[in-house]
Amino acid sequence: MRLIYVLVLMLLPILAFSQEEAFYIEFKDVDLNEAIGEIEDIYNVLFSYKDDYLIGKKVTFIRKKRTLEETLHELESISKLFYEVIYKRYIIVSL
Amino acid sequence: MKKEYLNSDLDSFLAKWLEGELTDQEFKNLVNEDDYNAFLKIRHGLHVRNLLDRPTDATFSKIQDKIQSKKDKVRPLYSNWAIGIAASIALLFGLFMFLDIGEIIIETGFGESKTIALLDGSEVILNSKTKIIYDEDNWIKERKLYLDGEAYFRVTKGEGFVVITNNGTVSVLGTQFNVNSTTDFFDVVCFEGKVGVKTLQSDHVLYPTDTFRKINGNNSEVSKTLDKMPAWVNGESTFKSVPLRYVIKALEEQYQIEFDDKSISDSDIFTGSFPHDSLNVALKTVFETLNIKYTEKEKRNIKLRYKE
Repeated sequence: MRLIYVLVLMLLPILAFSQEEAFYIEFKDVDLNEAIGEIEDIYNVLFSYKDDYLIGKKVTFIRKKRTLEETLHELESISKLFYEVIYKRYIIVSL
Repeated sequence: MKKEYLNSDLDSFLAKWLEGELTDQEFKNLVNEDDYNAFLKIRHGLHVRNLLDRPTDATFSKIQDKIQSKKDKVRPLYSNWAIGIAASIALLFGLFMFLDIGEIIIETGFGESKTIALLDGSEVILNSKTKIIYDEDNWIKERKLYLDGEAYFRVTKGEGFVVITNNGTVSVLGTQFNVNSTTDFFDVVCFEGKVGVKTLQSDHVLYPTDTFRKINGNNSEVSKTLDKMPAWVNGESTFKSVPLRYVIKALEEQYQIEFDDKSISDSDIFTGSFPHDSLNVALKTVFETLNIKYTEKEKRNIKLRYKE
């Protein structure tokens, strides 16, 4: 049990760090749902959305380092959708 | 004329008369008339008493006979039951001994998950509201189980491993895969090795990252997943392009709640996740994005309706 606590304590900063840390991201005219899948893997987050919202939307990001907040902000302006982060790793997409 | 005699004589006459050794006339001649009349009354009284005594004894005897006869009737009835029960126990025991029934049923409740180590070293993790049935005695000979619900399998190498569901059969050789089979939803994901999926309509072979899905009798489809293992194993439920009603059902099973979703469209398709440790966050992640308002009608009953 003690070992589990230690592992959790070790993992927590890593999880938090992955969202605050900046990563290189680049998209060239990719489907928004595909881009979201990549962002989930990179920042260890999970998006929730209605599939209809993403239909026909494409994303292009020039290559540069971005934090999660910066990525979502840029995504908002491109997709015309809102992204709200709750409970640290769930991102709700809305119109 | 009044006769004179000793008391001992009188006793002797009286005894003989009562015993019938002296006739009434003989006794009358031996005693005076007043005594004779008195003795007559006494003898009559004794006679009446005997008559009264006799039926009492007879009635008592009859009652005793009846009680005895009732006891005799109850006793065999009780004995038959006892024999019946004993025979049933013996029969069941015999069936268990001869048929060697080793059927194992494992179920999970609302919001519960269980990890089961099978006899061959394989492992099954059951998601909430899931049931598996298998024969423990024949497991080594035939690795076959029935599944209703969702389970993640880590199968050791061996002869074959078959998962039977109402929607189809999944067979594998040493691999890791997830099966979710409910009434009209069938989803199989292969994470490692090779998985065969057989339904009434089609046969498929899945390789790592392949996902087979069949919803509500529609045509099945195979797609890809980026996941390394099912998210629910780590306390999250994840859905990719799933009709909302299956997500609602998963929420109900995870949190033991009920939704009033009469006003919700069946055409809403959801992609997303919810955690297993916070109902508020789970409700928000699923319904906020769909513009659905959720209000608690009564305890554990939540009404859904679209926002204005």
